[in-house]
Order: sequence, then C-alpha cells, then structure tokens
Amino acid sequence: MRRVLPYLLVLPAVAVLALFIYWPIVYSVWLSLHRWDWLMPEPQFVGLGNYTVMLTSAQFQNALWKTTLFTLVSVPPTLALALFVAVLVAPPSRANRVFRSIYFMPTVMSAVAIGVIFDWMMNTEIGTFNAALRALGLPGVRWLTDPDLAIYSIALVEIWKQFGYAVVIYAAGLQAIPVGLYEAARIDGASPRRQFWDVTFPLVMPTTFFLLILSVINGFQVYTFVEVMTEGGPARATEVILFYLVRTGFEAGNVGLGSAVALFLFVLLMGITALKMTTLGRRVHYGYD
Amino acid sequence: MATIERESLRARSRARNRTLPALPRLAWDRLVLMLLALLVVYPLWEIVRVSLLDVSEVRRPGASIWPLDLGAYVEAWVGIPFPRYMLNSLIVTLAVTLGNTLTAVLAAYAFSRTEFFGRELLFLLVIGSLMIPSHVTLIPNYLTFAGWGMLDTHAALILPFLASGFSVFFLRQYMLGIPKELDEAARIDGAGLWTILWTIMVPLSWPAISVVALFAFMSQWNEFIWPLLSTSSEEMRTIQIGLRYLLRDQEEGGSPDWPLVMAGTMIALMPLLIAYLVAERHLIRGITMGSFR
Repeated sequence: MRRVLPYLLVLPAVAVLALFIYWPIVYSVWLSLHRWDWLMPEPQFVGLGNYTVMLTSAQFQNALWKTTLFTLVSVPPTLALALFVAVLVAPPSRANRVFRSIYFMPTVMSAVAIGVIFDWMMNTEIGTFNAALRALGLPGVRWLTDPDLAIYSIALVEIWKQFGYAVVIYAAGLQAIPVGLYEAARIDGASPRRQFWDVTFPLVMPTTFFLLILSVINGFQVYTFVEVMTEGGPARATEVILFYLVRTGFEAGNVGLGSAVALFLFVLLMGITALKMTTLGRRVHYGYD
Repeated sequence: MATIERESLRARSRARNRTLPALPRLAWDRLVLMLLALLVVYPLWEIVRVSLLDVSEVRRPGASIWPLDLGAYVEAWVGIPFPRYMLNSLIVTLAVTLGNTLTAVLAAYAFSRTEFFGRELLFLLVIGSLMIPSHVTLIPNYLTFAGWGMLDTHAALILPFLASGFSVFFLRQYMLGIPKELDEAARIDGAGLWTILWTIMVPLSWPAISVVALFAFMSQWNEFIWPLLSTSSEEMRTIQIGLRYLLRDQEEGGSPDWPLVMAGTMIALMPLLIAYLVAERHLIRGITMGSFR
C-alpha cells in the first residue's frame, strides 16, 4: 500500500492534465497535418498543406498583424502608467492600500462584463465617451465602428483592465529595493527624478521584464473583448489570432487549419515563455512576503 | 491604548507641520491617484446607473435614476433565463473549485512527502502544463467531448478544469515549508500516510488551500471561451455566455435593451465583487501568484 499510495494520490491530477492538456497537443499536431471538416467523414492527410494555406492567407496575416498591433499599443502604456502609479502607492499607508485595491478591482471582473460596459460607453450615439466629448464641444468618435480606430479602443479597455494588476506587482517589486540606496542617493543630492531613473528604474527591471513577458503573452491571446465588443469587425479590423482560430476551426469547421493556427500561436508563445522561465525563481518569491 | 493613539496623532500633526512646504506636491500626487481611482470605478457606477433607468430614458443624457426602477433586474430574473445561467455557473464553478482543490491537495501531498519512482518526471509534467496556453486545447477537447457524445453538458464544462498545474505547484511549495518533524512524529505514533494527510497536512496548509480554492472559483466563474464553444443549448449557458448572448442577440435586432443588459452584467459581477470585498487580500495573493500560469 505504501508503494501504491503515492501513485494513487497523483493519479487524478496527472490524468486530467494528460487527457485535457497534453493529449490535445499531440492530437493538434495530427489534426494540423490533415484536411478535415464537417463535410468530410474521413480526415485526409495533406502534410504541411494547412500551414502553407495559413501562412499565405491574407486573413491570417491580417490577424497576426492586428494581434501584434494590439499588444504593441496596450502593453507599454499599461506598464508605464503602472510603474508611475506604483511609485506613488508603494509606501505602506492606509490610503495607499485603498488605492491599490481599487486599481486591482478590474482584475477580478469577468472580461465579458467589462466588454459589455465598454461596448455601452463607447457606443457612438448614446455612449458615455461621446457624451463627454460633446459636452466639451468636440465631435463624437466612432470608437468601435471605425475600422482605423476599433483596435485602439479595445487596447484602451485592455489597459483599463490590466493596469491595476501591474501596479500591485510593481508595488511588491518596489518594496524589495533597499531603502539605503535612496538615502545614499539623497545624501549625494539626487533629486526625486534622478532617484527614480538611477535607482528605482534599473532595480525594478526584473519586475518590468516579468510583467512585459506576461502581458505580451496575454495580449497575443486576446479574445473576449473582441468577441463581445466588435466580433472581429468592422471589416476584420479587430480580427485577432484567436478570433481567426475560432472562425476557421469552429464556425467554418476546418479543424485542420484551425489546429495549424493554434500550434503556430503555441510555438510563438512558447518562445516568449522560455524567456519567462528564466525569471520563475524571482516570481515565486513574491507571494510569500 | 487611547494615549498611544493621541500620541501618534500628535506626532502625525507635528510631522505634517514640518513638511508643510512639501504639501502642494503631495496633494498633486493624491489628485492623480484619485482621478485614476475615479476612472476605474466610473464604469461600475455606469452599470448601476443604466441598469436603473427605463429603456425610454437611456438616450436622454441627464436621465435621473430616481425614483429607483428595479424593473430591469426583475426582467433579467423573470423574462430571460438568468436564474438558469446562474445555476449552471454555480454548479460548474463549485464542482471545479472542489475538484481542482482536491486533486491538488492529493498530488501536492504525494509530491512533497513521498518518494516514488518517476516523481520528478511527473512533477515536471505538472508544472510543464503551466506553459501550455489554453487555446491549443480548444479544438482537440471539443472533438474529444464530441466523440464521447458529451458536448453541451455540465461534465464538458467541468472535467477539463479538474486539475491545474498552478494549484498543485502552489500547494506543494507550501507543504514543503511545513516541518517534516510534525508528520514524522505522527508516523512514529502509528499514523499512516492517509491519516497524516487529513489530520496534519490539510489543517496546516489551510491558508494555501484557501488561496487555491478562491483562485479556482474566480477563474472558473469568469471562464468564457470554452463554455462559449462547448455549449449550444440555452439551458447549458453559464452566466458569462448568457450575458454575451443577451447583448449580441439584441444588437442584431437593433439597439440592445441597455437597462436589461446592465442588470445582467451586475448580476454576473456580483459574486466576485462580493468575494473581492470580503477576501480582497487573499484574492490579490492568489492572482499575483497565479500570474505564472
């Protein structure tokens, strides 16, 4: 019994992970090498055909570009704003704790609910954003229905949701900086600005790196906001990779092509995750302070 | 006690007097922080405000929410199957929270306290799952459940989430920090592995277990893409999916009934907002720890 018990204990967890996380990868590879849709009873081997179709597809290239654009315009502002705010709210005090928990609140809110709220607020005719613009005497903007603007509007929602999380992580990172360094800088006559750029910024770099990798990974997997607010439109202007995956793999039922897209994104994210793993030790340390 | 408070008050007012020249800068900082807090909270107020309006008033900018009109909430509860969505969400979320925590407790215990052949490899398998983004599993898992004839069931919504690398990893780390002497002593007294797990390890790991459970609850309540893809009937929709259709179905037929949509949003947000108010500290810890998912 003593010999078998450990296996019995790990069995449920390992079985679930094997069946619903590891097996799907193997299955995806197999699927991606076959042509198979709802009309065909038998999968047909096509080699790398799906990958060729994917890489030459203008829609896929559009999706890849839109996802990259979304990540580029949402991640840096989130981190910059979060670091700025974290410097202000990191010192332990009751007021700062309240600020931190308010900023963090969107992190627990469902993406669907957030999408719905911003869908309302960004509504061209009756939304809050345009009401505010009109009150200032400015013309309204088609936040979600202008193809040139929609992806930026969704990036704005992403910033709104993510910045509080980054603030909390940054605040933890800032508290790890030895106070002595600031005292030394002050004695040397460094202004608060100099202290930020010469002490805070370089020393909080590991946190920045961690948040950057994590946010890029999240950014590349954006789906819910797009699904709820624009459905990839207008005119595919917000069709991100996951949206394209669902459209080809599920709505069009082309599971081979869908799997190729999924694996492409997987390999891309694995590359980024490999970078992330190098900071794992540091990260694990945060939760225990 | 009172004297100490008075002392510290006096000290604080003295400190304030001394830093008086710096006060304008401090106020500027606070102003920015408050403005940001307002920007975060405002959308929440907007949900409440719109949900209390009458449909006919939505287009009027200065519409007043007085007298309070709870019609939209009644409509969400009676007119559309929100209770059913809520029930589905509760069933799925509670099952996943319990199951995920239980598999994690068992596995974490084995990984932290027993020696067996293949332990390192299996543990690598467990933490390796953290690196796998969930989108790769969508199509294969859909086909798996289709093959079993189990699409559009509660089981399909629950099974894939019954274990997670994060939960096992987090609990194992915590259990490794519990002194081995405690279970050694119990073993000398004749307790078996199983007894030690439930009488020593579980009670001592309670803080970590509650973080894992809270985190599982939260991410499951908000789960969107899998229930969207794996359910097809209205009876199986979770609250997130119900909310999405509430917005979408109406949008296709013109303008959505915004008070109704916002009432639905409020209902969908309520459990987590309450959980956040009650256990904010733990939630923050769970999420910041969960960040390496």
